[in-house]
Amino acid sequence: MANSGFTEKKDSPEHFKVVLFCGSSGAIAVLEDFLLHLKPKVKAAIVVVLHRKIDLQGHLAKYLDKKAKVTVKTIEHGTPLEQGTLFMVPAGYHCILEKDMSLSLDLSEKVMFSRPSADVSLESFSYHLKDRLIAVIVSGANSDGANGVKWVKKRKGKVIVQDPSEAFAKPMPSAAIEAIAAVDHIVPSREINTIVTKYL
Amino acid sequence: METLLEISEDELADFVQIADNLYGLDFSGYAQESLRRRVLRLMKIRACDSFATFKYVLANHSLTNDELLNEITVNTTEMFRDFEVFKFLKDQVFEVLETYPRINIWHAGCSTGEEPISLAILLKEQGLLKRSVQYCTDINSEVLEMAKKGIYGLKEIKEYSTNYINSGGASSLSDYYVAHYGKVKMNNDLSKNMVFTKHNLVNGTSFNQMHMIMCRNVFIYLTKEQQDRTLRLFLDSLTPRGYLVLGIKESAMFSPVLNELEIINGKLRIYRKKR
Repeated sequence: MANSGFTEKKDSPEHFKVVLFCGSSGAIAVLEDFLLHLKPKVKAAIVVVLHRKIDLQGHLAKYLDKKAKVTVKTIEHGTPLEQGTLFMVPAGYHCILEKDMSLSLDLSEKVMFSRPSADVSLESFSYHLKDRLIAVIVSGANSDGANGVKWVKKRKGKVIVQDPSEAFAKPMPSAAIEAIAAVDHIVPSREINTIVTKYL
Repeated sequence: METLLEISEDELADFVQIADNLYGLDFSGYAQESLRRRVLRLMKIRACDSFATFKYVLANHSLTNDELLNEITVNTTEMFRDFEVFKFLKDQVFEVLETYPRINIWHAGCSTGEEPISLAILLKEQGLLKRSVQYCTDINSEVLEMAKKGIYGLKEIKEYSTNYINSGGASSLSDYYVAHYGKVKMNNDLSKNMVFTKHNLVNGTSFNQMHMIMCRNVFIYLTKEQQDRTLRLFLDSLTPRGYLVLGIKESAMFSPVLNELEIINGKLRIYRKKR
């Protein structure tokens, strides 16, 4: 299945990285901080998995779009990944990545009481992206993501975790740190962007 | 630490072949990534530590056909999910349906029946239920049995109440069921004109002319090619000017059959056959 969007080679999905930003309660402030400092032509696609209530009007995406210099899109089934864009996973769906770098939505069982679940996306994205995936785990009140980061490390991706001591809700970053021996970075919220940018 | 189960692309292709050969189940039109996840999940449930072990389980028919189908397909559904869709149908589509002496509606991939029930409630409130026939089909006979019974969890029903009100419901959802021991039984009159049949959207054919087809959150599990084939089946099954309702995150936008459809509400994915 060809995606007509990827005509120029430099923009082809084989040539840019993907940042999977995962969080739950207390994560929106961290996300804002992160995207305020994103350059408009950032050499990565950013996908955001947040546990949240169904938002039919897409208020959160609209709000973030105003704040960010990158384009903010809410994912629909089949949306192709593009660099320089921030993709919001809609509430109520898991988000997985197809081999052709298009995003699929999935309504299967909740994982860690969550849909979207960070574990689901981390496993799926790392399967296709291998070392081109950068996982960011921030504030959240359950341990979703801890299983997923194991996959990311096994497949040579990077894992950056918000310092639990400053997180609004510690369990999610703490669980990620406990799950794997070698988290690449444990940093405060304001430094996440700098560290991520280093890998792009 | 639990082992991290893997399955390669070739192994997944192998699974599709085995399912077809030994179980007569055709998963070739299923989107790869969700299928990979479902197979991994099933391997975990069956305590298989590798694909080789899982193949052994499959070859020995430790699962029935129905069990395999149940585990691979996803049956998540809710009443009045995305209430804006139901509100739109009630406010703008019913007045067209009303012009037909008999209204044929097809719920393609109805799962456990929450959507047909939701629509039946709104049809009843508009005085249209008695002349509507709702064809409820699914590939999975087990969920169809549940749909037929119309028994749901009380806890879930309470969550659906708000969506019912937001859909423009005229009364209270509790008027439509009897609660007992943590379960509810939907009133029989709602399902009186429902026909439950096993039907496969991957290779099934058209069986009647429909005024409206609802097929929400089925396309997300199908390949692009299969989506096109299924859309074609829907077009063949719609009366001229019949309605097609897809899931709100799904789209017929990129399909070659799009030019035969008029977009009635793009955001809510409500389409209408041109002629």
